[in-house]
Amino acid sequence: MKNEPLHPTSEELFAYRDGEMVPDKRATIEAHVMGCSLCRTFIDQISSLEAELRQSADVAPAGYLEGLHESVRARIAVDASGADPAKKPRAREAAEDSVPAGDAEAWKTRERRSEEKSAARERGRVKEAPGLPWAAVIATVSAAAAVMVVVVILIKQGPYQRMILPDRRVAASRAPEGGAPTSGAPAKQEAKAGAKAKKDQEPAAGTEKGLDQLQKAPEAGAVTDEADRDRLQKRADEVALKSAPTPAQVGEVAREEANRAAAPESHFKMMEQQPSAQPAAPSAPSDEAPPSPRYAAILTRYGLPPLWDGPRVSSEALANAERDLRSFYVSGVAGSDSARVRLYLAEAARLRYASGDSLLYEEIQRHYRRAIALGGPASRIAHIAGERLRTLER
Amino acid sequence: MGEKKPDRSAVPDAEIVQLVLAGEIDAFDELVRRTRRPAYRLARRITRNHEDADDVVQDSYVKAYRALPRFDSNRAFQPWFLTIVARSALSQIRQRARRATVPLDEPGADGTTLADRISDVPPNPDARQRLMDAEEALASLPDEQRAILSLRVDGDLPYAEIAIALDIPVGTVMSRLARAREALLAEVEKRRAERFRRSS
Repeated sequence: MKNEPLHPTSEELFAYRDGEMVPDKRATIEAHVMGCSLCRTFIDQISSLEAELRQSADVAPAGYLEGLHESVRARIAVDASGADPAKKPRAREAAEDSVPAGDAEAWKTRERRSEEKSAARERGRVKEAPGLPWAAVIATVSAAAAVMVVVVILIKQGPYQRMILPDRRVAASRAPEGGAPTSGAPAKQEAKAGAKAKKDQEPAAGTEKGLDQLQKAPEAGAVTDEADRDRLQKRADEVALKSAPTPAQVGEVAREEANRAAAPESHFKMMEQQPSAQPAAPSAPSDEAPPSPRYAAILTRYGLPPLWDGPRVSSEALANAERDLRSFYVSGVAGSDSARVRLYLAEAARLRYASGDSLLYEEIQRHYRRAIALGGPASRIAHIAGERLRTLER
Repeated sequence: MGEKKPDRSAVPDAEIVQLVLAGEIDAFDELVRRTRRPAYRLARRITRNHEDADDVVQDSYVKAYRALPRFDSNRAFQPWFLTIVARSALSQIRQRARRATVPLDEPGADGTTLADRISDVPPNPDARQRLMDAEEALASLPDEQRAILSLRVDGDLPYAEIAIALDIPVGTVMSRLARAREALLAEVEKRRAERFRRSS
């Protein structure tokens, strides 16, 4: 039908059906649809399909929607504790940019921008691209992450290291000798020296100390080429481990940036440290808040403490409790227990985790992160979940 | 004895917002009650599981709460809020884009199957099958198509609001929505033809 020149395009037919057709075109399309059974059938098909979908949308677990406002209140209390937007106008502006504009002027501006983009697309068939600021942020962070990853790989790869460092001795002059610690040089300096050795081929002014060490090393007469290379490799690995982010950390940065580009969540996190925004917030639930009766019942049934605490929680009890904890969380009534439940769910999932199971790994990460967010940055839950997350990523 | 909460079910959105801004936190509950169902449906359609949908919905309410001072009282609250939900949901699925999708027939995180999860399942087997076809077809579409369809079908948002939610021009909304609807029809027809072939 789309190829039939006499019929309107499907876009036009749908826009007509949705009441979104511009008035001058509307009459034309309407006249066509009235006299064309093919187009009417096409419109009817999609209308009945959407009516079915409207009628049958996924239902929430029993009781979830009814208890949602309680959970939301608890979240707002956590989020708003200690916030003062006046102190950080930039954070507010950032958040404003990510939440749809509420005032009429901003609305008009967006629409105008939208129409301009649309016109540009029509004229030049320009491939759609994200807004420039977001694209710039993503590109910058991606480039930084990529550079870090490449640096780590280069440091770790012996052959590449040799390609980049044709003269190992020059490199060694910049990276302090492995094995024995050198004059208490801090790890940062070592990392800088290691990274610099990969960038430069020529000795630099700041590497005199390293050169001295190099000059001393051959004089000792105990360093063969092979041993020298091994030591350099070891040192490079150490430096890389100390200075470079783990792949998980790199991934997290990328995820956070993607999140920042797509949604205002991170901007709100920036605002978390400020006292309450214009709407006053209910008091924040504390770490030590007593468990709700339903949560307490689960804890009692399986002999668990209110907050996960490694030595006190048996694996068996946790594995047995997981299903009930999950049902409790899913029911949407967890409220102020949500952070504690997410921590338990992370630990329960961790019991099942086997190396290489990336799906479960991400689920565990997600539980920890939610526990941190729900508990609040200064909470004991956030501290424990943060520690556990770090051990997981190690 | 607990204080009885006032019935605000007939109070316009704009007045509720003013009450919240004036410090009546309870009033925000009313906004939650008014929007929770479409918000959850939208989030669930886009994320396709309860846990993510729950996170998205709760995050969205927190964001909306904090952005209330900038809410334009001349507009309805729900479309504005649903754009926040849509953005959060899309952000959520982008974050886990690398994860494999859970087959529709498998139980979700809450242990329920698709058939368990959809509401108003007709008793007639044919109608029930048609419904399942439609749901499965929608769920099988790419994220972007599912999102734009959900915004239109579940959110009932006009094109201009969808454009804001997805940060794309209105013209692109028109074309994407048309492609998504065509894909949905094609998927449904494919499923029905396949079933017909098997039964004959």
